[in-house]
This record gives sequence, C-alpha cells and structure tokens, in this order.
Amino acid sequence: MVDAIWAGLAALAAPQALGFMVIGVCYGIVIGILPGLGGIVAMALLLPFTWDMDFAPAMGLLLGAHIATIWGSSVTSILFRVPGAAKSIALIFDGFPMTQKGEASRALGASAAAALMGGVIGAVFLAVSIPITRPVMMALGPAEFLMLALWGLTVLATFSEGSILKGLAAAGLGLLTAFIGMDLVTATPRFTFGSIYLLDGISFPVAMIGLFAIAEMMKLFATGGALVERDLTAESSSVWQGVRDAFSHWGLVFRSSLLGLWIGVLPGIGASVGGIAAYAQALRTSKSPETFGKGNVEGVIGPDATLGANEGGGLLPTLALGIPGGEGMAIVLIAFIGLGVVPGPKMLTDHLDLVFTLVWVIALASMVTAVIGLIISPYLARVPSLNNNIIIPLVLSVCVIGAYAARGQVSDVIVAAVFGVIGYVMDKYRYSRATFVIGMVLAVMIERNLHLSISLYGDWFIFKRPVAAIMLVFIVVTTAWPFYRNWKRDRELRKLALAETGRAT
Amino acid sequence: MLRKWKSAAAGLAASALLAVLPLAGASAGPVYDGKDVTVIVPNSAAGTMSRYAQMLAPHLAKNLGADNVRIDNQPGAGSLKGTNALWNSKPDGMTIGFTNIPTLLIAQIAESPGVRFDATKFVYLGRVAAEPRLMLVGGNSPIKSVDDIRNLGRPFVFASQGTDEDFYTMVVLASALGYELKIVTGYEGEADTSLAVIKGDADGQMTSWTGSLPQIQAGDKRPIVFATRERQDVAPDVPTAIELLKDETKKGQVEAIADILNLSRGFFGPPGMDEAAVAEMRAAIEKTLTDPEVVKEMAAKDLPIVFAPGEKQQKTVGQVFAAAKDLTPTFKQALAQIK
Amino acid sequence: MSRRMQENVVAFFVLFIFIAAIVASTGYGPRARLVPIPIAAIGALIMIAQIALQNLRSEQDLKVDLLEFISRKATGDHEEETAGEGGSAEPARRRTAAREFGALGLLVLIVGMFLVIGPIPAMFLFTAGYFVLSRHYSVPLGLLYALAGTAAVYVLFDLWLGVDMNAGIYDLGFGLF
Repeated sequence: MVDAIWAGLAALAAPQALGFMVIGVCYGIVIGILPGLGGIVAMALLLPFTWDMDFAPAMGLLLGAHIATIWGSSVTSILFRVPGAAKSIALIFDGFPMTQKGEASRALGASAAAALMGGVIGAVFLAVSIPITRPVMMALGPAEFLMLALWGLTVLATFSEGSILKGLAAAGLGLLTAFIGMDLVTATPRFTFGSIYLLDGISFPVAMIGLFAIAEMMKLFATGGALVERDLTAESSSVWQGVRDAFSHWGLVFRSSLLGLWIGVLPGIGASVGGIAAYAQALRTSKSPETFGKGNVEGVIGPDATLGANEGGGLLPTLALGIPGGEGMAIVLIAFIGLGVVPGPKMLTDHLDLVFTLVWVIALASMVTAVIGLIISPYLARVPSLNNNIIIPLVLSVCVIGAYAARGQVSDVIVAAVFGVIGYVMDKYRYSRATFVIGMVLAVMIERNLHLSISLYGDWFIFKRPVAAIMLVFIVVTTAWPFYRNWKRDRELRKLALAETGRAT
Repeated sequence: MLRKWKSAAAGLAASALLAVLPLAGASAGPVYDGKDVTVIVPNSAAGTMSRYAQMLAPHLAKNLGADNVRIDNQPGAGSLKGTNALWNSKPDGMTIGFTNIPTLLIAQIAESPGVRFDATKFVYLGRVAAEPRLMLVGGNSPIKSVDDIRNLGRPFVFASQGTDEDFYTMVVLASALGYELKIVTGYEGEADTSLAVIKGDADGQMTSWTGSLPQIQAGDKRPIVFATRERQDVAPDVPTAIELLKDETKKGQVEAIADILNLSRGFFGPPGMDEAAVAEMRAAIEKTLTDPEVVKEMAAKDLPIVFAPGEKQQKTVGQVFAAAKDLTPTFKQALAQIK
Repeated sequence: MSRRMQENVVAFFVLFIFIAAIVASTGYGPRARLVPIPIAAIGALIMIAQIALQNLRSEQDLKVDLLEFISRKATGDHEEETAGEGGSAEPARRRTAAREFGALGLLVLIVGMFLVIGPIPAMFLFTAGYFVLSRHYSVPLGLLYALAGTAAVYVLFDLWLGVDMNAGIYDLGFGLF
C-alpha cells in the first residue's frame, strides 16, 4: 500500500507529467470561466491529445483540466452571477452578494481554498473508501436519490431572496421548463409544440447565460447603475481573508467534502445537484441561516468543497466497477481504455499504483488550481467595477457566442435571448431566479427517480425502502424545525407583525 | 413533403451543375481533389462515435485526395437532428454523415417524432464497425438461460435508459422468445442500468460486449443471449436468440433486428448523392478501412474496425426494411406500455 | 402603467403559463403527466394567492409580501428593504421604460446580427459600435479595442476550443442563415 502511494507519486513527479498537469489546470480555468462550457467539454477536447501519452501525464492533463473548471466556473458565478457551468449554480446564491458587498476577493479566496480542501479530502477518502464503495452503492437506489433531490428542493422553503410565494411560483416554472422536450421515461414529447429543436429540451447552460448574464446586462443598461456600486462599497476584502474563512469553517468543509464524495460515487446524481445539496447542508447547519443569500461566506465554502471532493468520489465506481460516477468520469473511462488500462476490481489489486497516481493528480491539481486562483483573484475581482460601456458590449457578445458554442446550435442563441428577457422581468418583479434554477436542476432527477421507485418498488415504495423513509423523516424535521423554533421564539413578534399588516388584509 | 421536394430539387440542380462543370474545362479527375469534406456526426463530441470519426478523418482525406475532412458534431434528438440536417444537405458529395445506422432505422420503423427523413433513401457508403449487442443479467441473479426467464413466474424486469435500439431489441426478443417483459424506463445511462442489474433492482439490460466486459470478468454480470445472427468468438458459449427459435415468423423478426443492429457505425450520404462522388467515396472508405496500418492503429485505441462495403449496406437496408415493417405494431405496443 | 398594473400583468401571465401547462399535459399518458400536472396545479394556486394578495394591499406595501414580512420576522431578520421607486413620479417611470426598450433593442440587435452576419463579424461591429457611439473611446481606440476583444474571442473559441466560428467571416454577409 505504502509502496503504491509512493509509486503513484513518483510517476506523477516526472517533469513531463507535472507540466501537462499545469497546462491542464490553466486550460481548465479558462474553460470554466467561459460561459456555457464546463468540465465535460474541457476533457472531451483534450481527449485526443492523450492517446499517445503515458498514464500519468494523460491523467494529469485530463483530470487537471476537469478539476480546474470547478474553480473557473465558480469565478463567474461569484463575480457576475453567471454560472460558468451548471454545477456552480449554488455559488451565485451567496458569492455574488459578497461581490456586491465589496468582498469579491474574499469570496474567490474562500472558493479556491474550499475547493482545494475538498479536493484533498476527496482524494484521501478516495483511498480510504475503496473497500466500502460497493456496499454503499448497493444500498442506495432511486428511492434514496429521490429523497436527496427533495432535500435540495426544501432549500426553496427557506430561501430568503424576494417573496416566498413568488419564489415558489418561480420554482414551479423552473420545474416545468426542465420538462420541455422528449421525456425519456415515457418517450413523450412534452411542451415542444411540434418543434424538433425543442425535443432536446432547453439546454441548462444556455438558459443560465440568458437568465443571469444577459438579464444582468439588460439591467445595467436600463438602470444605468453599475454591476457593483463601487462608490458605496469599495472592494475591501483580501484573498487571504477568504482562505482563513475556509480553514476556520473546517467542520463545514469536512461535511461538505464527504457529501461531495458520495454524490460523486453515485451514478445518476450530477454535480449540479451536489452543489445545491451542499448549499442546503451549509444552510441547515449554519449558526446564522438568515444571512444566507445575502453574502454569507459559508454559502460559498460549502458548495465549493463539495464540488472539489466530487471528482474523487466519481473515480471510485469508475475504478472499482468500471461504472462511471458521472459524465466527466465517463470520459476518463474512455481515456483509460485508450491507454490500455482496464478498470474493474483488478485495478485495486494489480494496479494500485495507478489508482494512487489518480489520487495524487486530484490532490496536486487542486493545489495548483488554488495557487493560480489566489494569484489571479485580486485582478479578477476588479473586473465587475469596469465601466458599463465596456462591460455591456463585451459580456453581451461573449454570452451570445458562448450560448452558440455550448452545443453549436444557432437556435440556442435565440433561447438565451428569450431567457434574458425572462430573467430581466423576473428580477424586476422579484420572482427569484435562484429558485427557478433549483427547480430546473432538480426536476428531471425527481421525475426519473419517482418513476423508477414506483416501477421497481410499487406505489408505496417509501415503506419498502427503510433508508429512504429515514431520509424523508429527516427532511421533514430539518425543514420544519427552524420554522417551529422561530415560531415559538417570535410568537409575540409575529402577532405584532400581523397586527401591523392587518389593515391591508 | 415540401422538404423532400426541396431536396429533390436541390439534387436536380446539383446534378445539372455537375453535368455542366466538365464542359467548363475541369479535368476529368477525381471529384474530391483539393476539396473540403464535412462529416456530420449527429452525436456528442465526447462520445465513441466522434472518436471513430476523428481518428479516421485524416486517413480518409488522404485516400480521397481531399484537402480536409472536417468533423461537424450536430448532436440532438437522439441523433435525429444531425441526420435530418444531412437529409437536407446538398447531395454534391461534400457533406456526408457518420453515425450508428440502427438508431435511424429503428426511429423510422417506430415512427418516432423527429424523424424527417426516409432511411432507405440515404446512400450508404461503408460500415466501420460492428458491435454485437447482448442481453445480460446480474451476477447474483438466478437466471442462467432464456429458459430460466420463461420459467420466472413473473415478468422479466428490464432496465432501460430510454427508447433506443436496445429497448426495441429487447422488446422483439421478449415477444419472439416468449417471456413477459416489465420495462423500467428512467435510468440515466448505461452506468445507471448496469448498477440496477448488478444490484438486482432489475433483471436484465442490453449492452455491447465491450461495454460490459469488465463487469462480466468480475462476475458482476452474466451474458445470456446475443442479438446477432451468429455466435461470437469472444463468447462461444453464449447462444444467439435465433438458434433458440423454431417458429419462422418469430425467427424472421429477430433476424430483422439482428440485421439492423449489424449495420452499426457507418458512413452515409444524402439522398441522390452525386454518383461519381459516391463511387469515389466508397472506394476511399474501403481503402481506409482495409489498410492494415489503419486497422492496427485503431485497434490500439480500442476502436476496432469491422468493415463492410457500402453497396452491401445499401442492400441490407432495403431488405431489412421490408422485413421489419411488421415490427411497427410490436414497437408501438411497447411504447404504449411505458406511457 | 402603475406598478400594481405591471405586477398584475406579470402575475396573470405566470398564471396563464401554469394553466396552459395543465391543459397541455392532459394530452399526455398517465406517467408522462404524473409530475407536471401537480406542479402546474400548485403553481397556479400559488399565483392565484399572489394575485389576490398584491391587489388587496396598498401601493406602498406592494413590494413587501405578507408572507415575506412574516417570515422575515420569524427568521429574526429585521433588515429593511430598499426604499425603492414605489412612489416615484410618472416621468421617472417613463424614462425607465424607454431605457428598458433600449436594452431590449440592444439584445435584439446583437442576436439579429449574430444570425445575419455570423458570430465574429457581429461581435466586432457590436463592440466597436458600442465603444464609439457611447463615446467611451475615440473612434480609432474603440476600433482597436473591439478588434482585440473579437480576436481574443476568436482565438479562444475557434482555434483553441475547436468550435467553428468561421460562419460569416469568409462568406461575408451570409452568416448563419
């Protein structure tokens, strides 16, 4: 075991392998920052280059790029409220408010440090968890995934942005938007109006570009204000403050990392759900949940730690069973086969050194990303305060081109524009875009797993799956508890509030 | 209708143009000399289909004498979108397609929404690979043979990732081999269905041999029956569905689906593709795929080449379509079951 | 249009979408409509409640939802809402509307240019035009920066990421149509 650990490191320590890893990381950061493009694209584009490489440099390049996209996508979520990829959606909830408060550097630093710690914890636990992967994968199924998605949805109930009724309505719209297209469960085209284009549904990255980026540019133009009011809130934070935040919330980082690790292990739950689940978890366990959505650094640390650890988790089933834990890992699997490595249980006995090379790649790539991130963050943090006349045309053009580049479909540009208008209207009349997005992400997961649970275990599946039943109880209790506690504490206050508003009703 | 008319008109215009061109002084030389050829791949840039296309493109360009063979990924609607695009493309030979042909045929036979083409009218240019598909059960499952499935005393639970060719193949197998099927749809992909089968949530799935090889070797999955005409060298003990059948109609149905699956990954061109271009393209594809260097290189990347000439593919498509017509009701019934 | 009027237009539109979704879903199979119909139904009920609420309250309270007010008290959050333009005068509102149409026009312009002349030429013309017409940069400087930005995007997407961005560059004027 110890030999394998060192052999794995030695293979990666070669200058060529390290060089390719650094190239992969730089490339990944740029891809992550570009709207619409994420880790899958990054790896798919690099795949052909790995065909003639050795194992360590090839994995350094591929996984390095994949890991770096996490922080890269977080950057735009934090600075512009534009998620660079679907998985970083949770970063906009508190990351962008931090930028507005003049704490962009702190948020970026916390994000990089949390992703680093998540990556390292993920890598360490990857090594430790190998023996228990199989039983856990066998124990969890569609019913439990459904509960996990519902748990993500309960964030809606406590989301503090805007009006609750409007927020819930927006979530409903998000859920319905996700149902546009060919329903793969029943082979029914839904809400497509006979259009072939709509059969594929609304692309998530494209909708994001519209809802947030384009809408934000329209708002800038219409109100004439600035993305971040520099006169009111000068950038007052430092990157190191964020790093300190991440380390001082080590409990949160640890919990989030384990969550990310196991979400990565399970095929059928994507990283975007992971980010939202991490946010829910951070919110639930926080000492000051009421500041979430208003720039609480915990809302940045939790999701980023989860995303960082997610990659290590995704590798587990890929290595142990030859079953990829997510889309990104499916590409790693292709690369394995291209490199002549056959994944499966033998991997853990015969090729343990290769497994540890991967562990080291994840750990080292996370570190390289964090170092580069910390160096460039102070410069990036200044971008949102540029003059509108520079930001609007550039961001708008890049959004349009990014929407096109995401899938290479011209119609996506029009969809992005439509969502831009929708996003603007939602923002103006305070229908929460965040809950819309949560609904959109979770819709398919909820529907698929509900159908699977009913098909496999019957209508009353919840009573046949004890783990799911326990999770349901846990969800109900954790959702209701803060309301109950506050209701008790503030009963008097509430009466007062009702009296005040009573005249209006 | 209008589209067909349009493409026919475009074809006519193109052939008229080509008839004029030699008069304009062009040499009688190859159609593709110094040209740019676009290969529409209606699958995602990350998948195996694109890897095949990208690896083959430079060799194909060399053998065509073309300047460049460019891969244009147009994924969407279960590869129907890119195929529709090819159907409407100019048939001058400068745009061809590369994908999993069975997907198109089955979509058309099942009358899926989104089909805006007639697969029998495409020009087939050559098969690149064939991957035998088979039914597998979990390693801990009591099922060891098709007989065990028939004697299960309950429907056979089939984990499906959607209404793809595996779905329809399983439906045909069940109806021919005589066992009841409970189709569970909603799985996200092959990783998801594999896990369901290994766990025992579902009884079985359909995959390619290579797709399940690691799990078969580890004893997590057990091969039951191949959906091919002949037994496979990789697993000589696993029977084919056809050899288990006596009834000629049922045999015919399974043969039809086996033939469809056997078309596998291949190049194809738009309807009415310029004849000189077709001849040159078929020759260049054959030359590429029979070149031992290329075959060796591709095999090293785990992209095996199993070539079949375009003419043969064209004939098979015609025959299969006639035979597969009566599968439409079976397909529709299966679709109704999951609605 | 008053704020209340605008709110109502938006709210009724959202309600309409939910009802339309219910109507459309009834045509699907039992499994295909299992999830969308309840969601749309709940959404419709929520919107009806919202419409009732926003019309029963005074203009000043419009921006503060009753439930929100309660929940803010309940979660112990007493920070206050921005004063907003709740009582702002009609001319201000008209100015905003004009600028909003401007923003919409801008969006239509860039997307239209993208479709007609292709991504890269559209980006160059759009950024150059914006830089110059907004008088942020002088004409030569604006052109220079627009060219640099466009070139950077081209290098990044086309040359580096391999996404075809050539449409409209060589076949000038044809774009993606």
